[in-house]
Amino acid sequence: MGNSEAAAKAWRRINWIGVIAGVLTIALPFLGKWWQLTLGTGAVFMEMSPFGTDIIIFEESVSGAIGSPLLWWFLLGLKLVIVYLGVVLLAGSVLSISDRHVAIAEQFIHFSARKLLWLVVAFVALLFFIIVIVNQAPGILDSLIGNAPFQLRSDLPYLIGEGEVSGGIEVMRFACPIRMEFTNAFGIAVLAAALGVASRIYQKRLHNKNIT
Amino acid sequence: MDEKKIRFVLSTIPTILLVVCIVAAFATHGWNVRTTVFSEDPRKTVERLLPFEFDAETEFLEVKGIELAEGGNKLAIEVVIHSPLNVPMTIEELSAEVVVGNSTSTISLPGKVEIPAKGSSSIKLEGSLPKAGMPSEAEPKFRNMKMKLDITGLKLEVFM
Repeated sequence: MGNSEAAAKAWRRINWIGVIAGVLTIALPFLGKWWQLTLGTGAVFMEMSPFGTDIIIFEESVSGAIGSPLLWWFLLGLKLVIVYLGVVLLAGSVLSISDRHVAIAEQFIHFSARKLLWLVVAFVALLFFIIVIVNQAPGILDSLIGNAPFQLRSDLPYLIGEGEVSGGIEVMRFACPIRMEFTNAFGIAVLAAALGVASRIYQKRLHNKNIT
Repeated sequence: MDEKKIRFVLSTIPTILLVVCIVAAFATHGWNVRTTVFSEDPRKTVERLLPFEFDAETEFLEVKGIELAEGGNKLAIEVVIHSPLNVPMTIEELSAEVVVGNSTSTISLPGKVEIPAKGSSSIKLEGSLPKAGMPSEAEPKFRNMKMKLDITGLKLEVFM
């Protein structure tokens, strides 16, 4: 077997799907927030991701005021964990090239490939749960309090779209349009998570192929 | 290194990272639980969240003068609106009933008015008077005031 043929074979043993997933996972904490909420035409603007939340109320950022230092450090830890998972996935995907380290590569990929998917699923599920609670809250309050002096109506969209929150008391009524959308960073997170899962399946195939 | 050790090391590192960060949070805040958990005094936080100042002394609406036009058949009231908000707002509608003696007249804003952030705007509310006109010495009283505001997309209707 010639040198060039051996090199080509080695390149083919790299789990390229895992390499891409690893690089995207490493970049993910630095790509910005995943989801946006706008009240009115900018009365309140909120951006969220598992790595942090930015809130701007009447053109003033209040993230620092309502955020806790403990939460800030915890989210920093989460960012480091995601970067670590990306590095492990990348290392595992590249290590497949070596016969000596193929078992370690397998473990690296097995450990890191699906974790991001759980984070994405947990983030979406949590948002969905909060929206369901907020939309149900007026009905629950109505049934609990009965003839409440205030009225509240919540028609939030489920994660994407437009809706309205309205309500009021005898002397005052308010109505506020709400817009929600996912950002491009969320798209990259979904892509990285999907590629992570695919890299694990691909690694198994690669391993079986090498055994046979 | 055997498989079990690798698995153990791989899964321990994220826990260590998180624990180190939480310990660092306390260490950088002098091991004080309150300052670590809350960034500032909750009252200050509420004040920052509200778009207006707690101790604002100026009134929102200030009547500057009352004018009679068209031979006493038309009433115009000059009002200065002081906005306590940190953002601009638009008064879309403003109307009120003015009672002067036995006469009642409805005055309203001819068009939308924009008030700058923490600024003031002078507006003129106009309305027709009953044929009897307005007794000049009587003190006008306002009632059934209705105001529609647009604060950066947030629609607010106030009835007084």
